Amino acid sequence: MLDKKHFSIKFLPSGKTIKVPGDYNLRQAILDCGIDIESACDGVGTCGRCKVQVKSGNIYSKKVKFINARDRDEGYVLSCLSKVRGDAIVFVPEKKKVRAKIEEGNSKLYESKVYSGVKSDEFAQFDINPWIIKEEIIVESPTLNYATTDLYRLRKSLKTNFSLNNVAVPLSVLRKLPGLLRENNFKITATVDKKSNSLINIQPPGKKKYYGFSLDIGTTTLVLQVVDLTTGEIIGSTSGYNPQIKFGEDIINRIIYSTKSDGLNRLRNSVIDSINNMILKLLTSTNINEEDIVLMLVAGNSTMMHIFYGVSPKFIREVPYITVANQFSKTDSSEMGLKYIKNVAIYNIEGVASFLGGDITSGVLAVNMSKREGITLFIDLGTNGEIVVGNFEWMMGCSCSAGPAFEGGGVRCGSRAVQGAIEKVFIDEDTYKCFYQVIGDSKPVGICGAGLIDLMGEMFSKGIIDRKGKFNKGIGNSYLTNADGDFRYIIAESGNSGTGEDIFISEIDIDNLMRAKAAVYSGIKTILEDIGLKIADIEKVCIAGGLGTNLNIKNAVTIGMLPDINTDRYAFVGNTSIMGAYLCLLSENKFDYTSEIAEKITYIELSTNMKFMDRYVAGLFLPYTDLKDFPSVR
Amino acid sequence: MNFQIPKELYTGKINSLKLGNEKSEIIAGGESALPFYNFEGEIPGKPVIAIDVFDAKPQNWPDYLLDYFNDVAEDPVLWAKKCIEKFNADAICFHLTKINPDAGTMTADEAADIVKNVREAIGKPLIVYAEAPLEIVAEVMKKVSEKNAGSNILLGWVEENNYKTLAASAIGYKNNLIALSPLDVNIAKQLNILLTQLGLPANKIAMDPSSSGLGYGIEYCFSAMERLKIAALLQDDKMTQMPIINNIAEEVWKVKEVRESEEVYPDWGNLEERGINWETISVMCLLISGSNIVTMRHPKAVKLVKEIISDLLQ
Repeated sequence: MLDKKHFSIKFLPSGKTIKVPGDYNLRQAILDCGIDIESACDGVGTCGRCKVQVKSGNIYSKKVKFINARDRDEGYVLSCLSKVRGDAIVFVPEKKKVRAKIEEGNSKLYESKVYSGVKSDEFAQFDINPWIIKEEIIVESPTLNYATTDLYRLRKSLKTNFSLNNVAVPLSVLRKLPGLLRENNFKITATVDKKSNSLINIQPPGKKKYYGFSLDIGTTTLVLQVVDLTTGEIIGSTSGYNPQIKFGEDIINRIIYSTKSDGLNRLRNSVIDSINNMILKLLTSTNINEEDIVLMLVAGNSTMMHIFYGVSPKFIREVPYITVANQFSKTDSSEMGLKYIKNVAIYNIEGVASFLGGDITSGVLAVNMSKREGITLFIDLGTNGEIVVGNFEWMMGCSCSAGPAFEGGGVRCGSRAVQGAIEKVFIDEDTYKCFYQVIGDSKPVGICGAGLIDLMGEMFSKGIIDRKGKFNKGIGNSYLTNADGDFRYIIAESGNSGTGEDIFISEIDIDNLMRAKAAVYSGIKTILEDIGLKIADIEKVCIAGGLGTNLNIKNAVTIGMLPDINTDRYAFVGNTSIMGAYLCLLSENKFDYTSEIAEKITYIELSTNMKFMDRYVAGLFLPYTDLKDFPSVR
Repeated sequence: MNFQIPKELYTGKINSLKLGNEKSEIIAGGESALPFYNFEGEIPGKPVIAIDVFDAKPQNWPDYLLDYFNDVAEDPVLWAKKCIEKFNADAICFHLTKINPDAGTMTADEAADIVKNVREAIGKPLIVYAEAPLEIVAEVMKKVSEKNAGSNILLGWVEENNYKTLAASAIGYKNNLIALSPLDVNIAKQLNILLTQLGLPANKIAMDPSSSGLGYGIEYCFSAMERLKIAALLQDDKMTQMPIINNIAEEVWKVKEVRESEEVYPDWGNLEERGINWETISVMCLLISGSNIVTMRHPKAVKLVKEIISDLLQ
């Protein structure tokens, strides 16, 4: 429309400016500028996180409970509920970058757990038997009596060396072939992919080390490792938030976003950009030559896989909830837009169903439950809570949407389990003061999943919250503050925190955690009862997820998230999705076996299960509506 | 060999909720069998039929219903007496509407006095519903409870999000409370737990799992109530053993089936008969799914329901 008036908005502190039409959504304008802004609700005004300050100009905004009178006077608004009505200058506050700050920290604790985990007896052992092989080969030289093509003689040599017939040779290799053969006296190094019967690359002779990437694409977290394919050693690893968070914190919001115009592309590009950065960071820090990377193995839930491969996840959330594929075809780095590596074969681990993806198959492999006789209950506490139960003979799995709370989403002071995150708390019974332990040697900047579970348990057992998860206001708790009707329990005061602001938990945060824990417990109870198992029949409970290594199982039971059984049957196993991807990267047998696992798991759909809903509502109570389920909780 | 009807064994028992005191006292609940299954267990009393009385003449009742009360509709005391003496009500359900600033100017003190006058005039138990914004209800419930201390009136209602504000006065002045939940067994149970933790004895609670009239989702009420009773009686779940109250009159008398004339819907037949039947069937549905106290309005429907109850309990 020609006559529609445009206004110019300047964002501080970045100084970025954008012109938008009248009534344009302010949050959208911030996103259009490429400025990251937190949002748990994808801009519908329910999470209160996209707060910004209008310095000057005409911005129309709805009144909301998230902004108290003082802040309102200072121009704070929720950007998602604000419309541009004139030129303006808007400040996007520094504290919105808490997450970015956390990311820069060192997450060694979390990573070391992965590697030491693989060595421990509880897990599947690694074996080195990769299907991508890099070896020096000798190709026969042509003579007048033996005037065959270079390709013919190359194939002949590949057959002798790798027992492969009719290997596919890409044009890119043929272009290099004649020169490379003759420069090196017909001795070259070939990288072949046995699985797809293809030649990946040829290089000058000299057998060098070669490496692979294992990648876990979680709804909230990305983890990338670089692994020596000849020794199994993890040379380096890095992790970060999935940048798609800004388009919505959970799977459903991502799928909805993917159906908007250009939504799928935006989602895909953002995650590919992040993976590219992680690749560059690892290559630089480990000094590994990009030419020596030959394979990438990806694990992730079905929606993340669809988006990574650029396939629409739309039908995952529509009845009857199906995927386009549970495993995507082999592809390579250039086709995927991974610009810092070349000729790298990319494979992914097969999933089971729409809401039980390759990350879970990978986890089942890692915890070795499909090889044991005793029954294992495997729970992956991510943004989706996935549950698999079974043994070497049978396995059943389900998924319950827990929300991002365990990974620090949907909770205002929540964070991932990285440096600066509170992971353990203790509350003094008399003063209600909170003592805490922070990951790494630093001031607290947030609280991670394990910390939140511990905090809920402590608050409940010390009487700060009632069975409904509401604050008991009459107990003389001086750490309970009232910010305009939004009650908050202060965990760390502004003077002691790394952000300069209070670290607290509000009733809204507690509600999100209540929903998360109710979904998990209801899922566990429903799947066990559907199978006809009692919790006593379970030999081992493996809790996976990136919620922190110091999960206090006792308090997880106190809040009714995990079944009330002897805590020595529990094992916290960390990120098993990346563990499984690592195991598969090294071994063709293991990779093939994940497909067998995926086939073996029977999927149970909970969204249509009445009992699940009933137990979910019963779970919105501490520890649970029916106390018979939690005899040890008083 | 004679055929023996197999009998269910009940381990639990519904609480006995004492309504009214001394002369006016009746007990709601107290049964140890599913509704009307007196061949399987004890059913000590009949369900309580409470007739609706308002503090002002109703504006939206169909004429054929209001005709029964026109002579007394301006005076709640006379209205309540007529319901007891002429229409055989077991109790009165008194609705305070003028406390809502949108509808009138009645103060909390005035409301408490009227409640007291009605209670003393009828010699039967009293249920009181205060219908206004939360702050006003809190004040009214406090005054009503204070001026009628120890008289075992049944006060309505508290919900999960306001029970802390409202329950204290009933506890302090030893009255009974209605706990309203949205058609959900778990939430009903959670509210009972929260109320008892606050200090309200379990036998002072009646739970209202929400009601809807025939044709408007009554099957959901049926299912929720049935599950509550099964948990109470078969699983001896203490926190579901509160007697159930249904404020069903409110739901029945707003639907078009009891209001639209025969001229508009010739197939539907005589309007008054239809209204009586609609109320009778709605109430009976709730009674056979476990209701212990129901509110009603049409005198002929009350008579009919009482006859059916007597027949069923013979």
